Amino acid sequence: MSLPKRIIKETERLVADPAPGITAAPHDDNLRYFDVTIQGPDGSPFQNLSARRLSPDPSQNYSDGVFRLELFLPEEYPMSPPKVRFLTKIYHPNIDKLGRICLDILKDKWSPALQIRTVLLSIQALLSAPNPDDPLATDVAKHYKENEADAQRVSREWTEKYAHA
Amino acid sequence: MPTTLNREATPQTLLLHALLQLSRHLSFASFTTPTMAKIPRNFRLLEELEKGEKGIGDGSCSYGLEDSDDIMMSHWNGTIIGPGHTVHENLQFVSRVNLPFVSQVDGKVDPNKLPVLAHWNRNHSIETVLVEIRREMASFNNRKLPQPPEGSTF
Repeated sequence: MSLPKRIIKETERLVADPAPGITAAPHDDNLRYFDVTIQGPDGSPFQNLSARRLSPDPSQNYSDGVFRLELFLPEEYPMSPPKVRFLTKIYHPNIDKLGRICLDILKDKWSPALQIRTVLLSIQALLSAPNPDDPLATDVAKHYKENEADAQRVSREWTEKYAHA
Repeated sequence: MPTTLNREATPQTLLLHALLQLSRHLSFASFTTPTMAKIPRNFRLLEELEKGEKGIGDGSCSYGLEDSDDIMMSHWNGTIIGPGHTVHENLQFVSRVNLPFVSQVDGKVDPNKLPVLAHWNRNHSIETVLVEIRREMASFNNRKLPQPPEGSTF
Protein backbone atom coordinates (compact mmCIF):
# COMPACT_ATOMS: atom_id res chain seq x y z
CA MET A 1 0.00 0.00 0.00
CA SER A 2 1.46 3.34 -0.95
CA LEU A 3 1.45 5.86 1.86
CA PRO A 4 1.13 9.60 1.13
CA LYS A 5 4.40 11.49 1.56
CA ARG A 6 2.82 13.76 4.18
CA ILE A 7 2.07 10.78 6.45
CA ILE A 8 5.61 9.43 6.04
CA LYS A 9 7.07 12.85 6.98
CA GLU A 10 4.82 13.25 10.01
CA THR A 11 5.65 9.75 11.21
CA GLU A 12 9.40 10.29 10.86
CA ARG A 13 9.22 13.49 12.89
CA LEU A 14 6.99 11.94 15.57
CA VAL A 15 9.52 9.17 16.11
CA ALA A 16 12.72 11.25 15.78
CA ASP A 17 11.56 14.36 17.62
CA PRO A 18 8.64 13.44 19.89
CA ALA A 19 6.64 16.10 21.72
CA PRO A 20 7.32 16.10 25.50
CA GLY A 21 5.25 13.44 27.28
CA ILE A 22 3.87 11.99 24.05
CA THR A 23 4.83 8.90 22.05
CA ALA A 24 3.31 7.65 18.80
CA ALA A 25 4.40 4.58 16.87
CA PRO A 26 2.77 3.10 13.76
CA HIS A 27 1.77 -0.58 13.59
CA ASP A 28 4.05 -2.66 11.36
CA ASP A 29 1.11 -4.05 9.40
CA ASN A 30 -0.83 -0.77 9.12
CA LEU A 31 1.15 2.44 8.87
CA ARG A 32 -2.02 4.55 9.29
CA TYR A 33 -2.69 3.01 12.71
CA PHE A 34 -0.70 4.33 15.70
CA ASP A 35 -0.16 3.25 19.28
CA VAL A 36 -0.03 6.44 21.33
CA THR A 37 0.84 7.28 24.93
CA ILE A 38 0.17 10.62 26.60
CA GLN A 39 1.46 11.59 30.03
CA GLY A 40 -1.03 13.39 32.24
CA PRO A 41 0.11 17.03 32.58
CA ASP A 42 1.80 18.15 35.81
CA GLY A 43 -0.62 19.67 38.28
CA SER A 44 -3.64 17.96 36.70
CA PRO A 45 -5.60 15.10 38.32
CA PHE A 46 -4.27 12.92 35.52
CA GLN A 47 -0.70 13.07 36.79
CA ASN A 48 -0.07 9.95 38.84
CA LEU A 49 1.65 11.41 41.89
CA SER A 50 1.57 8.27 44.01
CA ALA A 51 3.61 6.26 41.52
CA ARG A 52 6.29 8.93 41.62
CA ARG A 53 6.31 9.12 45.43
CA LEU A 54 6.16 5.39 46.09
CA SER A 55 8.68 4.18 43.58
CA PRO A 56 11.96 3.21 45.33
CA ASP A 57 13.74 3.20 41.99
CA PRO A 58 14.14 6.72 40.54
CA SER A 59 14.25 5.33 37.01
CA GLN A 60 10.64 4.24 37.54
CA ASN A 61 9.49 7.84 37.86
CA TYR A 62 8.33 7.90 34.25
CA SER A 63 5.46 5.63 35.24
CA ASP A 64 3.28 8.50 36.45
CA GLY A 65 -0.08 8.89 34.74
CA VAL A 66 0.51 7.36 31.34
CA PHE A 67 -2.59 6.97 29.17
CA ARG A 68 -2.73 4.66 26.17
CA LEU A 69 -4.59 5.77 23.04
CA GLU A 70 -5.04 4.59 19.48
CA LEU A 71 -5.07 6.82 16.40
CA PHE A 72 -6.07 6.10 12.81
CA LEU A 73 -5.54 8.22 9.71
CA PRO A 74 -8.51 7.58 7.40
CA GLU A 75 -8.21 7.39 3.64
CA GLU A 76 -9.22 11.07 3.35
CA TYR A 77 -6.54 12.37 5.77
CA PRO A 78 -5.48 15.21 5.86
CA MET A 79 -8.77 16.44 4.37
CA SER A 80 -10.51 14.60 7.23
CA PRO A 81 -9.25 14.56 10.83
CA PRO A 82 -7.54 11.56 12.44
CA LYS A 83 -9.70 9.24 14.55
CA VAL A 84 -8.45 9.00 18.13
CA ARG A 85 -9.66 7.33 21.31
CA PHE A 86 -8.36 6.49 24.79
CA LEU A 87 -7.74 2.83 25.59
CA THR A 88 -7.01 3.64 29.25
CA LYS A 89 -10.07 4.35 31.38
CA ILE A 90 -10.23 8.01 32.38
CA TYR A 91 -12.63 10.12 34.47
CA HIS A 92 -12.93 13.26 32.37
CA PRO A 93 -16.03 15.24 31.27
CA ASN A 94 -15.01 15.28 27.60
CA ILE A 95 -14.05 11.60 27.29
CA ASP A 96 -16.69 8.86 27.41
CA LYS A 97 -16.68 5.27 28.69
CA LEU A 98 -15.43 3.94 25.37
CA GLY A 99 -12.57 6.48 25.28
CA ARG A 100 -14.17 8.66 22.63
CA ILE A 101 -13.01 12.28 22.82
CA CYS A 102 -15.08 15.45 22.43
CA LEU A 103 -12.66 17.96 20.93
CA ASP A 104 -13.57 20.54 18.27
CA ILE A 105 -10.44 20.04 16.14
CA LEU A 106 -11.34 16.34 15.78
CA LYS A 107 -14.68 17.40 14.32
CA ASP A 108 -15.87 20.66 12.73
CA LYS A 109 -12.75 22.71 13.62
CA TRP A 110 -10.38 20.34 11.82
CA SER A 111 -8.02 21.93 9.32
CA PRO A 112 -5.56 20.12 7.02
CA ALA A 113 -2.90 22.46 8.44
CA LEU A 114 -3.14 20.56 11.73
CA GLN A 115 -1.08 17.41 12.25
CA ILE A 116 -0.95 14.26 14.36
CA ARG A 117 1.43 16.13 16.69
CA THR A 118 -0.92 19.09 17.18
CA VAL A 119 -3.87 16.76 17.75
CA LEU A 120 -2.02 14.86 20.47
CA LEU A 121 -0.81 18.09 22.12
CA SER A 122 -4.43 19.35 22.11
CA ILE A 123 -5.60 16.14 23.79
CA GLN A 124 -2.87 16.54 26.41
CA ALA A 125 -4.03 20.14 26.96
CA LEU A 126 -7.62 18.92 27.32
CA LEU A 127 -6.44 16.90 30.34
CA SER A 128 -5.27 20.15 31.99
CA ALA A 129 -8.43 22.03 31.04
CA PRO A 130 -11.57 19.87 31.19
CA ASN A 131 -14.58 21.61 29.67
CA PRO A 132 -17.74 20.49 31.52
CA ASP A 133 -19.86 22.93 29.46
CA ASP A 134 -19.35 20.81 26.34
CA PRO A 135 -19.62 17.35 27.88
CA LEU A 136 -19.47 13.90 26.36
CA ALA A 137 -19.67 12.03 29.66
CA THR A 138 -22.68 13.89 31.11
CA ASP A 139 -22.49 12.28 34.57
CA VAL A 140 -18.80 13.22 34.91
CA ALA A 141 -19.50 16.77 33.67
CA LYS A 142 -22.30 17.16 36.21
CA HIS A 143 -19.91 16.02 38.95
CA TYR A 144 -17.27 18.53 37.76
CA LYS A 145 -19.79 21.38 37.74
CA GLU A 146 -21.34 20.61 41.11
CA ASN A 147 -18.23 19.73 43.08
CA GLU A 148 -15.00 20.20 41.18
CA ALA A 149 -12.72 19.19 44.05
CA ASP A 150 -14.55 15.91 44.60
CA ALA A 151 -14.64 15.18 40.85
CA GLN A 152 -10.88 15.80 40.65
CA ARG A 153 -10.42 13.37 43.54
CA VAL A 154 -12.21 10.66 41.52
CA SER A 155 -10.13 11.55 38.44
CA ARG A 156 -6.97 11.10 40.53
CA GLU A 157 -8.23 7.75 41.84
CA TRP A 158 -8.86 6.50 38.32
CA THR A 159 -5.44 7.73 37.19
CA GLU A 160 -3.75 5.78 39.98
CA LYS A 161 -5.85 2.70 39.27
CA TYR A 162 -5.66 2.54 35.47
CA ALA A 163 -2.96 4.81 34.03
CA HIS A 164 0.23 2.80 34.26
CA ALA A 165 3.07 2.78 31.77
CA MET B 1 -31.20 -3.04 24.59
CA PRO B 2 -34.34 -4.60 26.10
CA THR B 3 -33.96 -7.98 27.74
CA THR B 4 -37.63 -8.51 28.45
CA LEU B 5 -40.32 -7.50 26.05
CA ASN B 6 -43.74 -6.04 26.29
CA ARG B 7 -46.19 -8.17 24.36
CA GLU B 8 -48.73 -5.34 23.96
CA ALA B 9 -46.13 -3.05 22.52
CA THR B 10 -45.05 -5.53 19.86
CA PRO B 11 -48.09 -7.74 19.19
CA GLN B 12 -46.96 -9.26 15.92
CA THR B 13 -43.32 -9.78 16.36
CA LEU B 14 -40.88 -12.32 17.51
CA LEU B 15 -37.74 -11.01 19.03
CA LEU B 16 -34.68 -13.13 19.01
CA HIS B 17 -31.95 -11.99 21.29
CA ALA B 18 -28.52 -13.09 20.31
CA LEU B 19 -25.23 -12.57 22.02
CA LEU B 20 -22.36 -11.90 19.75
CA GLN B 21 -18.83 -12.34 20.91
CA LEU B 22 -16.08 -10.82 18.82
CA SER B 23 -12.50 -11.90 18.99
CA ARG B 24 -9.96 -9.21 19.83
CA HIS B 25 -8.12 -10.26 16.73
CA LEU B 26 -11.21 -10.85 14.64
CA SER B 27 -10.09 -10.62 11.12
CA PHE B 28 -12.01 -7.84 9.60
CA ALA B 29 -8.46 -7.47 8.35
CA SER B 30 -8.10 -10.57 6.26
CA PHE B 31 -8.47 -8.84 2.99
CA THR B 32 -8.24 -5.32 1.79
CA THR B 33 -8.04 -3.47 -1.47
CA PRO B 34 -4.42 -2.43 -1.94
CA THR B 35 -4.97 1.30 -2.39
CA MET B 36 -7.48 1.88 0.43
CA ALA B 37 -6.64 2.56 4.04
CA LYS B 38 -7.38 -0.49 6.20
CA ILE B 39 -9.70 0.54 9.04
CA PRO B 40 -8.52 -1.06 12.32
CA ARG B 41 -10.97 -3.31 14.18
CA ASN B 42 -11.74 -0.85 16.99
CA PHE B 43 -12.50 2.13 14.76
CA ARG B 44 -14.61 -0.07 12.51
CA LEU B 45 -16.60 -1.28 15.56
CA LEU B 46 -17.07 2.33 16.79
CA GLU B 47 -18.63 3.12 13.40
CA GLU B 48 -20.91 0.09 13.64
CA LEU B 49 -21.89 1.04 17.19
CA GLU B 50 -22.82 4.57 16.13
CA LYS B 51 -24.88 3.17 13.27
CA GLY B 52 -26.56 0.67 15.61
CA GLU B 53 -27.38 3.40 18.14
CA LYS B 54 -29.10 5.46 15.44
CA GLY B 55 -31.12 2.44 14.28
CA ILE B 56 -30.79 0.83 10.90
CA GLY B 57 -32.99 0.08 7.92
CA ASP B 58 -36.60 -0.85 8.67
CA GLY B 59 -35.84 -1.63 12.33
CA SER B 60 -36.13 -5.40 11.89
CA CYS B 61 -32.61 -5.87 13.24
CA SER B 62 -30.81 -3.92 15.94
CA TYR B 63 -27.69 -4.32 18.00
CA GLY B 64 -25.54 -2.65 20.64
CA LEU B 65 -22.87 -3.33 23.25
CA GLU B 66 -23.86 -5.74 26.01
CA ASP B 67 -21.94 -3.61 28.51
CA SER B 68 -21.40 0.10 27.77
CA ASP B 69 -18.07 -0.11 29.65
CA ASP B 70 -16.63 -2.78 27.33
CA ILE B 71 -13.71 -0.75 25.99
CA MET B 72 -12.58 -3.57 23.65
CA MET B 73 -16.18 -3.85 22.32
CA SER B 74 -16.14 -7.66 22.37
CA HIS B 75 -19.66 -8.51 23.61
CA TRP B 76 -22.76 -7.40 21.71
CA ASN B 77 -26.51 -7.93 21.94
CA GLY B 78 -28.53 -8.36 18.79
CA THR B 79 -32.29 -8.30 18.32
CA ILE B 80 -34.15 -9.66 15.29
CA ILE B 81 -37.85 -9.07 14.72
CA GLY B 82 -39.21 -12.26 13.14
CA PRO B 83 -40.18 -11.99 9.48
CA GLY B 84 -43.91 -11.92 8.74
CA HIS B 85 -45.88 -14.90 7.35
CA THR B 86 -43.56 -17.44 8.97
CA VAL B 87 -43.81 -19.46 12.18
CA HIS B 88 -41.59 -16.79 13.67
CA GLU B 89 -44.45 -14.31 13.46
CA ASN B 90 -46.85 -13.91 16.42
CA LEU B 91 -44.31 -15.46 18.76
CA GLN B 92 -42.27 -13.77 21.35
CA PHE B 93 -39.28 -15.28 23.03
CA VAL B 94 -35.84 -14.55 24.22
CA SER B 95 -33.12 -16.56 22.56
CA ARG B 96 -34.47 -20.13 22.29
CA VAL B 97 -35.06 -20.95 18.63
CA ASN B 98 -35.05 -24.00 16.35
CA LEU B 99 -32.94 -23.34 13.27
CA PRO B 100 -30.51 -25.73 11.56
CA PHE B 101 -27.45 -23.58 12.31
CA VAL B 102 -28.32 -23.05 16.00
CA SER B 103 -27.17 -25.63 18.57
CA GLN B 104 -30.17 -26.88 20.56
CA VAL B 105 -27.88 -27.42 23.54
CA ASP B 106 -26.54 -23.93 24.13
CA GLY B 107 -27.98 -21.74 21.38
CA LYS B 108 -24.63 -21.15 19.75
CA VAL B 109 -24.55 -20.51 16.02
CA ASP B 110 -22.37 -22.99 14.13
CA PRO B 111 -20.29 -20.77 11.86
CA ASN B 112 -19.84 -23.60 9.34
CA LYS B 113 -23.59 -23.80 8.78
CA LEU B 114 -24.23 -20.09 8.31
CA PRO B 115 -22.74 -18.94 4.98
CA VAL B 116 -22.09 -15.34 6.13
CA LEU B 117 -19.82 -16.66 8.92
CA ALA B 118 -18.34 -19.55 6.93
CA HIS B 119 -17.23 -17.15 4.22
CA TRP B 120 -16.35 -14.17 6.41
CA ASN B 121 -14.68 -11.10 4.99
CA ARG B 122 -13.97 -7.65 6.36
CA ASN B 123 -16.75 -6.03 4.38
CA HIS B 124 -19.30 -7.92 6.47
CA SER B 125 -20.63 -6.30 9.64
CA ILE B 126 -22.70 -7.14 12.69
CA GLU B 127 -25.68 -5.83 10.75
CA THR B 128 -24.92 -8.22 7.85
CA VAL B 129 -24.92 -11.17 10.26
CA LEU B 130 -28.28 -10.25 11.82
CA VAL B 131 -29.90 -9.56 8.45
CA GLU B 132 -28.62 -12.91 7.11
CA ILE B 133 -29.95 -14.80 10.16
CA ARG B 134 -33.31 -13.11 9.63
CA ARG B 135 -33.25 -14.09 5.95
CA GLU B 136 -32.57 -17.71 7.00
CA MET B 137 -35.60 -17.58 9.31
CA ALA B 138 -37.76 -16.61 6.32
CA SER B 139 -36.30 -19.20 3.95
CA PHE B 140 -38.48 -21.99 2.52
CA ASN B 141 -36.84 -24.70 4.65
CA ASN B 142 -36.93 -22.81 7.94
CA ARG B 143 -40.08 -20.72 7.88
CA LYS B 144 -42.35 -23.50 9.21
CA LEU B 145 -39.96 -25.30 11.58
CA PRO B 146 -41.56 -26.24 14.92
CA GLN B 147 -40.45 -23.75 17.56
CA PRO B 148 -39.95 -24.05 21.34
CA PRO B 149 -42.62 -22.50 23.59
CA GLU B 150 -42.48 -18.75 23.82
CA GLY B 151 -40.49 -17.23 26.65
CA SER B 152 -37.92 -20.03 26.85
CA THR B 153 -34.22 -19.32 26.90
CA PHE B 154 -31.11 -21.35 26.36
